[in-house]
Amino acid sequence: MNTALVALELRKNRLTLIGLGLSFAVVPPLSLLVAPRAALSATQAVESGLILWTLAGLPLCAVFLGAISGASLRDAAVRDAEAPFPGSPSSRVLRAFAGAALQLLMLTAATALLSAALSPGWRGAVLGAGEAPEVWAEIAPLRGLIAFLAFDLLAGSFLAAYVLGHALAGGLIGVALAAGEAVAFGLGLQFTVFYPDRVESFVPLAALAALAGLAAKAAAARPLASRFERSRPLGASGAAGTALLLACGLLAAWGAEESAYARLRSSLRLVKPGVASFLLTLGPSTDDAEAALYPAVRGAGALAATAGGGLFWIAPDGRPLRLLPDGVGGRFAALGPWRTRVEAALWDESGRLLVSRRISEASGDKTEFWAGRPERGLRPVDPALGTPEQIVREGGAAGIRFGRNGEERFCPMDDDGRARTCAPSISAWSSHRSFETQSYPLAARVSKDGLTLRRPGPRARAWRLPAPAADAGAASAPVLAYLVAGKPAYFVPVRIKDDEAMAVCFENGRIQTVWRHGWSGLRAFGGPALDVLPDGTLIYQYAYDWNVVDPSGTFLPPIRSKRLFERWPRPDGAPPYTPRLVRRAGGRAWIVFEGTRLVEMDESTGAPLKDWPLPAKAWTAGSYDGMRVLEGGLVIQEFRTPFFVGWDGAARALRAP
Amino acid sequence: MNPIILESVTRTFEGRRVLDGLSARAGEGKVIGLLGRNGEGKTTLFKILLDLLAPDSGRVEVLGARVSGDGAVRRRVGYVPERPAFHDFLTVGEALALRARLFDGWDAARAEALCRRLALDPETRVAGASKGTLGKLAWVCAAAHDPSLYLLDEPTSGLDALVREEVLAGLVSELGEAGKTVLIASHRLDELSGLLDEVWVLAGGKIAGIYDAETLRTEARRVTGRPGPNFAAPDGVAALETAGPVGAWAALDAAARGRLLAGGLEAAAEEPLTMAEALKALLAVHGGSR
Repeated sequence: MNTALVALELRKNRLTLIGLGLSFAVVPPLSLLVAPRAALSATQAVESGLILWTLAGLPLCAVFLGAISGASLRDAAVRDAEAPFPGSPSSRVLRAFAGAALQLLMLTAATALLSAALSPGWRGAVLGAGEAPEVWAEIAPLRGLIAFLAFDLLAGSFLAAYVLGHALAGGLIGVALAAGEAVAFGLGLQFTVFYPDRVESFVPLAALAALAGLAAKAAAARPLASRFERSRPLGASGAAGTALLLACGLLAAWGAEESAYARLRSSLRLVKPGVASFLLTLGPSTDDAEAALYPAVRGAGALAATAGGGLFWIAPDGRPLRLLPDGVGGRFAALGPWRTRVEAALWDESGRLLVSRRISEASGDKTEFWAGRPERGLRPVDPALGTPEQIVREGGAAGIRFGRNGEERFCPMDDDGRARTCAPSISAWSSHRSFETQSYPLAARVSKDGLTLRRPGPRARAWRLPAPAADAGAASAPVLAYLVAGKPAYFVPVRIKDDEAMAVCFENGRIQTVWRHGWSGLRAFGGPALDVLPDGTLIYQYAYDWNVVDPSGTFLPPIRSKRLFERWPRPDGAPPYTPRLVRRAGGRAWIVFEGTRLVEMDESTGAPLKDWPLPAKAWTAGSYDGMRVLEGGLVIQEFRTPFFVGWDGAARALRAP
Repeated sequence: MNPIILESVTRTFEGRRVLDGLSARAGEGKVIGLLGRNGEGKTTLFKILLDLLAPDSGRVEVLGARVSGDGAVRRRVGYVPERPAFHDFLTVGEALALRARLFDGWDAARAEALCRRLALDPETRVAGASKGTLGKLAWVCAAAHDPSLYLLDEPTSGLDALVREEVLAGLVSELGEAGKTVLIASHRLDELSGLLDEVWVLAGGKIAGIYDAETLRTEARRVTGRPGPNFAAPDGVAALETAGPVGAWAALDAAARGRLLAGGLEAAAEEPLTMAEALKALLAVHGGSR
């Protein structure tokens, strides 16, 4: 490209550039002027002023420069002056755009130089060099998007102004086009933010859409230049094609957004039941407590939901069954804690399911409450009970709290959405202690001196521990009750000299010390002490070995994983992954090994017998969100789709039936 | 090689076909006057030759290269537009310096000499410059890269009489002598009468006639006489006065004169036409063809 002509372009629009430069120059003094009114220090005010200029001022400059440059190409006097110049129509358009882009670059460079010199906060927020002020820290990941939008504004305004021969109209259209793309990208990012492991899947798509938009604009420049520089008629098909090229960026951006939304809608996520406890207590989810104590809960299967609020039950044998259909619409609504519209789900002690979900309808968002047994289908809760407010546990029982005539009532539900009984609610959420008392059935607590385990409530009892609890400092967490041979028992890690062991406190008052190992220093309360399999087997993992209590209450010799590591040595640098025992039957054990393999092993020798690759890496195999153990096999959450893996290693994706 | 080849060129503006199958070829080294009424498409034709306007159809070749939309032809053509325009923030010197970087064969010494000859001050700012100054600057810009083809669209427009004479009698004459091909449209073609080799008459969207300038200079006659009862003006003859019993007709060459007399005109007097009269007659001859 002839530099003389680019220099000419710079000279043509020099007044615009000077004006915009002066606007930038007044940002710091103006910020100082408004600082007292905004209750900001001088440094904060200048910093905010400069960041605002970068976020909003520069894109606005892009609009000005693009629109003025594009419109001036159509100016009759300018066209006459440049008519004798050699070169194609598109080169004239291209060099005008290059001039405008260069001016934007100059403004950007001036902004960067001055702002970086004046404000460390600006450097942190915009360049990512150093610490960003808290309020601006969130913009850092959006730098690429903002830079693209600024360039897109320049290109869109330029082309629109060129087509219309009018700077103001062109600028407005450029802003509208870029805003349309920004909204699409913003929504797409929002969808993927709810699936943080796949933001990467949207960003390349968005980048591709952005590049396609820019490429299409560049492609449109050629027929447009021919149309306006050489008065070559476009024809109906040419005009339609060019219009399509101009709209391509918008279409591609919304295509990317639609794709992200479609992924979101079609995805199934495992839903963790239980009364959410993370805000109220250090204790585990109530689901662990329920599974520990109620056979009906641990054998109930799994739940999965769509972003649209559809709910599926994955039966113990792995069959998916739709319980609730998707809601309609709702693209712009926020999603619930499991990144779906299911807000809460809870199994009661007999295996009934209570669900609340927020769905969108034509009339707006609303929260629905459902109850029932999954194999018979869920029913909406009886409206005569009042306004359902929350799924809760009170006194260890699961139910729904209703409000009616100023009264709060707690109602355990029957299979048809009606109340079995109702009583004044005693939910008192003011303290985590009361939450635990109400929510964890039969939970006990270690005394502050670490020597006594106490269970409060109507079935109060105390056990004198044979040695101090291993971590008495964590005594605020509840100690869950587990069923051993059909009766509640408590497993309390204790420290014996330089070793640690598990004190098992039985319902009859007996205490047995088991599983003595060297001191690991890793024992703590605040989580389920043991894993519970659907058949009631209790597993206490120490290092990479498993101590097991079988459903009859027999304490078995440890099952060791050493030979698995000999068979499949972990490569250097591979992330650590704790193997997980997921089934015992007939002297064999099934292990999820390294998150990528299901291994059937001889539990007495530890020798691997069979193994199958898993269809997706069970990254979070230790947590419910990533993997759920059912009677008939495993459910593993791949990004969008759960997989069911039977004990024979056969895997299948679980999709909506 | 024909520096200009036009074959079946058409161009329509808003439903009006301004050029309608126009065909013509310019001989090398010829100075050609383009004659046509206002709105006949002279400027359109220039723009098509300069690749500033796309024809709807037809073939256009300039200096042996097909005009295809890449604008390359303008490097090799000297163009003086009807209304010369320059960026108003430039001076005359800057405008020339800019072109020096755009045209490969730019000859700075030639540009300087032309400026001196036309009394053009390089320090003069374009903004506020007179029409004459811009016209002279356009001439320098067109000629400084020594093109072999000149397209001059009303090149003396805005020039005062002295400069016009300098331009027409001086520059155009020199171009002709230097063997350059020149296509010139001017309302004052008569002032160029001695320089022209051909006259193209643009009418009805076509080159309606191509006339040898020497023939016009030597053979065009005004014939005065009384028409017979069955008299009808033949081809190549324009009626000048027909109100009374005695009329006047313009015959553009000897053959036309012969057809006029043979057609029943009783000639009373004959006199040579001036070039201005001949050109006017040319327009009259082709005026009705649209």
